[in-house]
Amino acid sequence: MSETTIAAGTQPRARPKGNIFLRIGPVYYALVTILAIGTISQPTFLTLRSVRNILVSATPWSIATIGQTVVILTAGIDLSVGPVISMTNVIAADLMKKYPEQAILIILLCLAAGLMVGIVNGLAVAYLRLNPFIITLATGTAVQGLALEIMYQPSGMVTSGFRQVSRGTLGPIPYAVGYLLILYLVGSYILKRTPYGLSIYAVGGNETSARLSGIRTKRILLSVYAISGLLATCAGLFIASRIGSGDPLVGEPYALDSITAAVLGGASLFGGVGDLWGGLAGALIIAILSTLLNMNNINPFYQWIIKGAILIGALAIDFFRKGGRQ
Amino acid sequence: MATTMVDAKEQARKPEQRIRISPSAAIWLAVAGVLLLARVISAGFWDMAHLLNVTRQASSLAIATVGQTFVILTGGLDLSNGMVITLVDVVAATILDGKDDLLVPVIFLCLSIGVLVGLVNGLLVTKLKVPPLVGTLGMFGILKGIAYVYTGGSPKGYIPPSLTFVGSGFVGPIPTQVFFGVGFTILGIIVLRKTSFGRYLYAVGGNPTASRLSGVRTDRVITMAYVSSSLLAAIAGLVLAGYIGVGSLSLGDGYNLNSISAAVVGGTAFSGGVGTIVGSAGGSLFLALVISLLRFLGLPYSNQLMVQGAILALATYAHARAQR
Repeated sequence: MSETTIAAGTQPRARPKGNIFLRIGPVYYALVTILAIGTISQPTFLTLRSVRNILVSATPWSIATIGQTVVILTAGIDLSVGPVISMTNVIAADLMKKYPEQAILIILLCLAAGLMVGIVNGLAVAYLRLNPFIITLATGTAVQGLALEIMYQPSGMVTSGFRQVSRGTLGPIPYAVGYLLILYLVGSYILKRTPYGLSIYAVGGNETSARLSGIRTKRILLSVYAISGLLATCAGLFIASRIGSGDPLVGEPYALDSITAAVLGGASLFGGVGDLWGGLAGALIIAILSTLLNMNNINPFYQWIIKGAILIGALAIDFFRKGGRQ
Repeated sequence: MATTMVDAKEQARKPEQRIRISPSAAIWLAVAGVLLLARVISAGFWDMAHLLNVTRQASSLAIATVGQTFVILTGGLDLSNGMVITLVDVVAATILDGKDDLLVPVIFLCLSIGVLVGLVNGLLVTKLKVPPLVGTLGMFGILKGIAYVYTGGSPKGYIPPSLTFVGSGFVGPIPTQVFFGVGFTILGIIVLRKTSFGRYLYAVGGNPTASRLSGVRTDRVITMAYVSSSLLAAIAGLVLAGYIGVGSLSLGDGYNLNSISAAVVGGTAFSGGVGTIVGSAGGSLFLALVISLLRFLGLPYSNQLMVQGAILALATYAHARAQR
């Protein structure tokens, strides 16, 4: 009984049977639809310049979504992603203005800070068995307070060299595309082809049987929150580089948006189901949506309604596709 | 093998009896503790008008938390209640615009918005099996969009005197809001303790399968919990609208997470089936009291957030330990 669960949990590569249209997640249909709407309504939508802009603006969402997806795979959730992004952003902008020659050290400091928040979350979830939603809400609230303590109003400045992190290009291709490709390829490889990645699926699928089959579940749980904290920091650094200054509230939408992207991408909040590419498609949809509404001169306020409707709609459609069963 | 050893260890630990205090009693003890602490730090905090003002601040949160507690008892959560507060406020301010003429129909409209939102949330969770976090998050987005589109991003209009009396008036020395806060708390206690709906809420959260098999219409109970939450959020929204007196797109910000915090601090288990309204009301009062004390001491908003985070973490840890 438990063996079959483990087997199911450790074989994320196994392809679901049936109709090819059922095998492709709804998020890809949504992405294609939104791209089609964009191309039809705006002739300039698929130009190199606009695609480049969309990819660069989608980068922080896409990076944060990787961490969120990995946490959701273990049936957890990370609400501290947004505050960690804000904190990183203000630490980087504040310190780089004061000590512009120490940029590398400051980046390392930010990564350490984000990692620490992740480790605190992970310890609380894995070893104290506290509810992930509540504990990351608690650490998130405290970290948001810390961000506001460091910088109450937008200020600070990053170094011009650091700005190249988001602005630089290799020929026509922005560095950002490179980051995304590397993170997603490496991330997907780790998740689907290494014992560690398979353990994450196993823990999310059935924690007890994962533990009984010899997986150190607590370490796995600790590690996914650490990864999420680290990746949120990377997203925060990218945003700092992009806007060039610090804003203590810049991360606000990211916690819920990264959850939206991951869930749109097919990750199940019950754990054990999902992959990174779906999350990337979800993050792209969120990024394209605002660009598209801007280009078509539609009231930007509609983006919230559309985002909410897509989120609910994707899950509802998924429910009916599976024949009305859970 | 390893698990049996752990079990044995836990068994061995059990006899050393800890003093058991129910979570709802613990939170009221904590409230008393903060009050004493405040008295020690500064005598000025114990000014009657100031303390009544703190209870006023706790009242609207307490109203929303009653509904949130119902939902958490079923094993769910409601992230959309704060946006119901905002939407109700901008609708009331825009339509009424300072005049009492249309008061009754507008109140009816606002309460209907609450019922409708709750109904949709409940049906999403029960019929389409959308996880509560995702369903109510989607609803949060939709309501936020509607509030912004409806007001064009800059809300206009004023709240008329009758509602202003509810939100910022006084009956004798006591703020009118407090009557609403206490009233809905008592109503919540009665519903949970004395009605079959209340007992079903615990049953559904404790063990959905068992309660369905024993004849409880679980889907209906869960849907009713979401309707209660949105309806109470609409009422809290009307009260808060009366307090600020204008339409505001940020009025309900944070009420979703704060009402969850208040419920959890008050001993409601996030996994469902465990919790009381007495505890939740204590949680609301506790949070309002601590924030007010920090403000009284002149600490900035950033420190308030840090303390709030620490309280939530410690409370969850304490309740989790007490349950083991």
